[in-house]
Amino acid sequence: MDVIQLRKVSKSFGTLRAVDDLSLAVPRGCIYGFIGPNGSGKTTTLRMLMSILRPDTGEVEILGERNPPAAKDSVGYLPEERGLYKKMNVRRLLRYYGKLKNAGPQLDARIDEWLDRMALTDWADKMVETLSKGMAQKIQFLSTIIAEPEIIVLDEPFSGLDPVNLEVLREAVLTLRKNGATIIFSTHDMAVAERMCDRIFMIYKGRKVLDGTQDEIQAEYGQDTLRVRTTAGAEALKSLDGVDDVRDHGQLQELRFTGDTQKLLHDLLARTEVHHFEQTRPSLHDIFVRIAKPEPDEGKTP
Amino acid sequence: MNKMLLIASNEFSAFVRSKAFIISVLFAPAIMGISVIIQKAAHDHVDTTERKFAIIDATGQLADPLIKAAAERNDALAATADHEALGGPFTPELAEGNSLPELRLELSERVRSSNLFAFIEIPANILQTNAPPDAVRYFSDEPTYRDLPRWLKQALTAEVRDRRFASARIPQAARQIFRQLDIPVNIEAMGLVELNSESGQIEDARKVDKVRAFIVPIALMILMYIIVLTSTPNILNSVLEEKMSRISEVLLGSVSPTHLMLGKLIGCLWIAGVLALLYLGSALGAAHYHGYGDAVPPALLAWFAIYLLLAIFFFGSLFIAIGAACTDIKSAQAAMMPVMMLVIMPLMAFPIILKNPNGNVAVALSLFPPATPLLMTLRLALQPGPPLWQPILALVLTCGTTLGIVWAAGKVFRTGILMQGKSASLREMVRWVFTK
Repeated sequence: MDVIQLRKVSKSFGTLRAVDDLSLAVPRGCIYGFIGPNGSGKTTTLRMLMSILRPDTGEVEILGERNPPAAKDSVGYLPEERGLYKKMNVRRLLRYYGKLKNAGPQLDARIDEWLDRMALTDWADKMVETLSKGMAQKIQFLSTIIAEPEIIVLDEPFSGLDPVNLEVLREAVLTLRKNGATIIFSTHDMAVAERMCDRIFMIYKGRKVLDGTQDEIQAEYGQDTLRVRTTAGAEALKSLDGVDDVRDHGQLQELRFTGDTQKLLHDLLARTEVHHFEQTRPSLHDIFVRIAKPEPDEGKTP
Repeated sequence: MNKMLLIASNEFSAFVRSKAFIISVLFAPAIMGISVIIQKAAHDHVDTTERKFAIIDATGQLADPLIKAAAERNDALAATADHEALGGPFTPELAEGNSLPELRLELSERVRSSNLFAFIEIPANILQTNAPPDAVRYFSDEPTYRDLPRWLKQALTAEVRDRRFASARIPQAARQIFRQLDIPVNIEAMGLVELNSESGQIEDARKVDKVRAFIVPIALMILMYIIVLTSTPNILNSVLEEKMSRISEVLLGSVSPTHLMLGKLIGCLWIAGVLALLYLGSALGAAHYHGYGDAVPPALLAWFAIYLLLAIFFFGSLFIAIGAACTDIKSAQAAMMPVMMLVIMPLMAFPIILKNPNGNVAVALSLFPPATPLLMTLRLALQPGPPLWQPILALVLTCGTTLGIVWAAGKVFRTGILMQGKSASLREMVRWVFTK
C-alpha cells in the first residue's frame, strides 16, 4: 500500500515552475531517498507533502487522506533549516513539539527513552542554547520523531553532522523503519542514499528524472562504466576511441566507454601496465552528475 | 482548537518567564504604592525651604513694603503650626546697580549658582492709572514653583492698589469699604441633583471631584494603553524569532498558518488579561484606599474588557503581519513605527475629548476603529458619557475592521512566514493580501 501519492502535481512561484507535473507513490515501510541538485524542487515537494505549500494543480494524498492537512499529525517533518527555541529547556521543547502532533500519553516516557538512546539524558533540563551544534541537531531530529508518526519526512537530515553523530542518526532512522515507519529523506550525499534507501527519486528542474530501486536505476544506465588503474594513470586514457567523461580519482580512473572493451584493454596494455580493469554499472553519483551536469552553453549570458 | 490553545499557552509561558513580565508585574504594586506614597508625602511633607529673592524696584517705593510684607508672612509662618497652607519663608533683598542689564546678569548668575532663588523687576509705571502699566517681571530657573510668584502677585497687588487709592485721594474709610466689596465671586462646580428612588428624597448634588471627573477616566485609558503596548509588540518578537530561527517551518509541519496565528493571538489575549487583572486590581485597590471604590462601575469595566479584547486582536494581528513580512529586527522596527503611531495617536488626541467629551470631534475620533478602544473607554468614563448608540456603533465598526485586519494579517502571515532573505515591502504585502 502506498502511504503517499502525488498525482500530476505542479507548483510555481511567480514565473518559476518549481515542480512540474510530478507523480510519485511512496510504499509503506520503505526508506525513500529524494535526490536532486539545489533548486531542483526537492524542498517544495516536501513542503507540499507537509501541506505547508498547496499545489497549484494536481493532488496530494497522504495515508489515503485526500485532504493532506488532516494527516498532519501522522507525518513528522524535519526541515532543511533547523529551528529550536533557544530559551526553552530540552524536555519542555520535546514535549511541546510532541503535543503539537497530538502525541499520546506515553510522550514523557518516550522522551526519556530517546534522550537516553542519544546519550542526552544529562541535558534534558538544560536550555537549548547551551547545546553544541551536534546535540541540537539530534534534539531537532528527536522533536520530529517523538510523537511516533507513521511517515517521517527529513530534509537533509545528515548535513553538517560529524561521522559519529551521523552514524547515531543513521541507526535511529533504520530503527524507526524497522518499527514500521515510512521514511522519506532528501540528501546530497549519494553514498548515504545508496547505502540506506530502498527506493530513490530524483527531481531535476522540477521534473521527475529517476524513480525506482537502485538496481532498476542502474540497470537503466547499462554497463557502460569502466574502472581502470594503470601505471601511467589518466594520461594513458587520452585520445582512445570510445572513451568519454574520464574522472580521475588519482589511483583510479572512472570512465564511460562505448565499444569493444577487449580492444580497449588491448590498446591500454600497449601503452602502459594495467593493474585493474573492471566493467561495472554507473554509480548513483555518476548518474546524478550525468543528469544534472550543466549543458556546455548553460549559464553563459547570451 | 487544542493546538491553538497549546500555542497560546506556549506564548503565554514564554512571556511569563521573560524579564518584561517581571517588570510588568512590578509595575502593578507600583501603581498602588506610588499613589499611597504621593498622597502621604503630599500630606506630611511641608516644603519649608527658604527662598531668597531680589527686588529691582524702578519705582523706588514698592521694595520696602514688599520686604515688610515678606517679614510679616515669615513671622506668621513661625507662629503657626499649619505650615501646609503657607510653605517656606520668603527672604527678599533690594538689588541696586547703575546698569540694569548688568544687574540682571549679576542676579541671574546668583540664581544659577543657587545663591538666590529668583528676582523680580518692578516697572517704573506700575502705579500709573491712565494706561495699563507694564508687567512685573519674575526671573527664575524653576518656573514650575508657583508659590513665590503667586504670593508676589497678591502682595504687590494689595500694595499698588493702596497707593492708587491714595493718589486718587480716596479716604481710608472708603478704601476699607471697597476692599469689602471687592471680594471675588466663587464658583463651585457641582454634579446634578438626583432623586433617591428608595427614600423618594431629592438628594443634594455632589461637588465635582477632580479624581472622579478626570483622573479615573484618564487612568483607565492609560492602563489600557499600557496593556496594549506591553502585550501586542511581544507577538511581533515571537513571530520574528520563530521566523529567524527557522522554527516556523517546524510549526507549520504540525499546524496550519491560521491556527498558528490564532494561537498566538489567544496567547497575547491571556497576557493582556493577566496584566489587566494585575493593573486594574491594583488601580481599583488604590481607588478603594483613597475612597473612590465606586468610581469605576461594573458596566464601565465590561466596556473596558470588550474594547481591550478588540485592541489586542487589532494591533496583535498587525504586529503578526509585520513579524511575518520582515526578516530581521531592524526592518521590523522600521515597519512597526506606523502601527505604533496608531497605538499612540489616541493618547495625543485625548485632551480634545476632555475639553468637549460629546462634541463632534470627540465623537468622530472615538468612532475611528484604531482609536476606539482608548477613546471610547475614556468617553464612557467621563461624565455624562456618550449616548448608548455610540459605543455600540463603535463596537460594530471596530469588530468589522478587526475581522478585516485579522483576515489580511492571516494572508500576509501565510506567505511571509516562509520567506527568507529580504523583508517584504508594503506593496508586496498588499499583493499577498489580494492574491488568491
